Amino acid sequence: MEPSHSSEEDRIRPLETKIRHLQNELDLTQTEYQNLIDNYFNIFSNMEKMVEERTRELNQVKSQLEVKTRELQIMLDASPALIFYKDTRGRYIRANRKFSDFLDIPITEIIGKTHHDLLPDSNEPIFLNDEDVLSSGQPILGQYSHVNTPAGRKPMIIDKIPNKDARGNVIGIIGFATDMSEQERAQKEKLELQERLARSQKMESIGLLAGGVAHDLNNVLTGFVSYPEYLLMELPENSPLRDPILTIQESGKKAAAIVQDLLTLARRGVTHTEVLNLNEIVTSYVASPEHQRMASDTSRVRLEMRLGGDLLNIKGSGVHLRKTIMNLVFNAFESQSDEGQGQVVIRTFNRYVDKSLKGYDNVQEGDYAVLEVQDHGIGIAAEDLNRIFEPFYTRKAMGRSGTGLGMAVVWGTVQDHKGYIDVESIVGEGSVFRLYFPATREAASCGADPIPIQAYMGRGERILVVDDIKEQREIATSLLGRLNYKVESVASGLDALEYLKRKTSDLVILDMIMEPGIDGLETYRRILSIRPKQRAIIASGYSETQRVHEAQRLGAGTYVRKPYMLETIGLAVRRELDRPAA
Amino acid sequence: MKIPPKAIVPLNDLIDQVNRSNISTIGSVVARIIAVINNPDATAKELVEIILTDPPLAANVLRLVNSAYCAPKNKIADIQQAVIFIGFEALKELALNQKVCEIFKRNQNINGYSRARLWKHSVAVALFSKMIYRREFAQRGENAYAVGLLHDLGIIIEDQFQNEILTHILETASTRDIALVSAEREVLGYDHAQIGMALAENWKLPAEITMGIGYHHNPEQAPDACVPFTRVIHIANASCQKNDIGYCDATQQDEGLFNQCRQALNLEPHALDLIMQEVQQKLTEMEAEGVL
Repeated sequence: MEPSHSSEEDRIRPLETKIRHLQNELDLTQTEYQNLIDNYFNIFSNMEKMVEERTRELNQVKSQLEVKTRELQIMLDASPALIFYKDTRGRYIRANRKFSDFLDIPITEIIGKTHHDLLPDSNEPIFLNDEDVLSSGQPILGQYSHVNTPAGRKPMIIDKIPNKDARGNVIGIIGFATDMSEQERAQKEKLELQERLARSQKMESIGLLAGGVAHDLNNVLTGFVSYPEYLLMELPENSPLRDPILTIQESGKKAAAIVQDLLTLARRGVTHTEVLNLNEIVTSYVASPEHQRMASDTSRVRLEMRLGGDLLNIKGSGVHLRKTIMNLVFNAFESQSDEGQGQVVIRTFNRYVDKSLKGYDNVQEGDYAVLEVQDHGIGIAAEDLNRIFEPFYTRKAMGRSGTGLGMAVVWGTVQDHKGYIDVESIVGEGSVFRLYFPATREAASCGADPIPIQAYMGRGERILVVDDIKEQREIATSLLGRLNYKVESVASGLDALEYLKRKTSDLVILDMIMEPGIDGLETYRRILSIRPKQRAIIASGYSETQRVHEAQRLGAGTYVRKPYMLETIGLAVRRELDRPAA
Repeated sequence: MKIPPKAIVPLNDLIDQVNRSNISTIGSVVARIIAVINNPDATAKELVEIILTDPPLAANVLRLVNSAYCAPKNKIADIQQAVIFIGFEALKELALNQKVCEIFKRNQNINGYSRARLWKHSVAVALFSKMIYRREFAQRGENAYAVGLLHDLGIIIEDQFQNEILTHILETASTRDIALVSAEREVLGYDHAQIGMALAENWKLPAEITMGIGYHHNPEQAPDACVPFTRVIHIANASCQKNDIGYCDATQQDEGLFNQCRQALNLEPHALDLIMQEVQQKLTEMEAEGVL
């Protein structure tokens, strides 16, 4: 039993041990397997993190790229040139807004298409023919060409530059095209202005020269005008010398007229202090003997006047303006063809000018009084239009009339009045001269003579000025002080009442509206309760209201509108003080 | 052969000499691998970094991973892939194995002692002690494996720095038929276990490993906490020598100590036999694939 038991045990125990070993190994392996899995998981999650990081970096780069692209587009769009990028197959890959505007096609529709796709009928070489640049890799600069656009044919200068990648391979072209029409227009304008300036300077110097000789000539001419008259008186009626002497006299008179014009030119630049109304000058000219004489000579021509009402006053020289109107009307009459009835129209009107009409010399924005003289005569050829203001330039039959200086006087006068001339003329249809004179808001000096100051001087009377505005009190005090009144002022109705409780005043000048506090009417009411016979006048910046009338009904005198002149306030004060007591 | 006393180097001086030699650089890598092994939170990434900073080690690891021993289907090109293929645990062992092996690589024969034999012995002790832990105690036993590889480090040090004296010691042990440690203590005043322990301390290896190396011949004298561990190493070392996987000092066996340890650990002789069989089998495989 024992040995067999022992031998069985010998067989079983190693097996048990083996199983135990395997069991332990299995348990450990399981743990280790779990660790392994954890490790793999860590590795993979690290990888995931790395992928995430890379993705984030890529996204950052991408968004930076987007920002840069946007910046580039903004810069391209801000450029005045048309800018486009094309690939090697001629497809647009980028374009700026100017280019899109130029083709009148949205940028999104331009991208990806060739010029031919966009405009199949266009054969503009500057948008095609990129092969030279693509094959040579060299830029072609400054190509000049006229291009048809939706806005008409335009001159353009184009630069084509090869677009290269980092390795220097040509991957397309970049084009810069500049619309030259503005620049060409500006260039032309500059030339015109230079011509105009030259002309202006020429006329200036001729005018000076002419003026210089005029004084001397005038003295010399006295002989030609005065002596023939004397000679004619001495000669018998039938003397054969009478006609030649009459001719000498006529010539002398003509020469004198020329000298008069020269003098007018020479007197240019006199200061214009007169406030005038063109309507009055026109009317007085038309009524003048000179005009009447000329009109009767050319009776088939009818003069029509359309003078605008409320024409703004201008500041200037009446003599020059009258001469100007005369010269224009003379020319208008003379321009009428010999046959048929003609008509000359003089118009005046107001015009607000906010920009130069035809690029005339430096026109100021503002109100202008315009004098327009229109004829339906032979007209002036375009090539002559620029020269008509030059002295002695004429297309009229020489010697027929005039001094050759008429239009020069017109031009000079308008210059001196800081106005400008607009001439429209069509050969065979007639001409329109429009003279623009800057308006003034000052009243024309015509009218009643000023009343002498003695008529409203004070005699030392005491006046109280009631006004809430300090400047107004100061003005009133100063003006009335000059008129020999003893003036005191207060800033409110209540102050006025306080003042009048203590002192007397011969006259109170009441402002109607005073803020804050009681107004003029209320002040006057309360003043009357203290001093029932108080004299007062009302001064106000506002129109007469019900309250003004109420104050006057209570006894207040004249209503004076602010701002007032010395004369106005002086007369009103004097009248109230001189009024017999009620 | 009489050794003049002045040729005998004190233990501290010997350790200094070692630290000035290329062994110290190997030691620092070994210490780092052991640190990973002892840190439950360590990741494969840390181990991969250690291996990658040591190009000869990385090359060795890749060579082994790609050998027939592991037999991957596709060639493994980097350490990261190696982790996935053979696993973190296996890679720790492989890396440690390869690094310690660098210390043993020179092959010299002196009286039946050769480095190759010593290395095979070390691997065998490593496998044996690890298996005791795994099979008998159901524990990982990582440090047991490390100590197995390192327990006879002191002999290599003697060979490299005190070669003539080692020859003398081996002759002494052989002629007088005494244990190697006894001959060492007689000639040097210290033995190879003490050299190994001093070096392990110097490299700041974990205490268990230091004690395992220092007390593999006298496990009962280790600090109490380490005694079970030192007993396992002692049993593994003795078992390998009994089964002729050892070197010259195999002849001297203290059966009483062995059995005392075995009973204390509650290890049956047949259990040790089973483990021995597996160790033999494994060694055979390794030799066949040229891994040793």
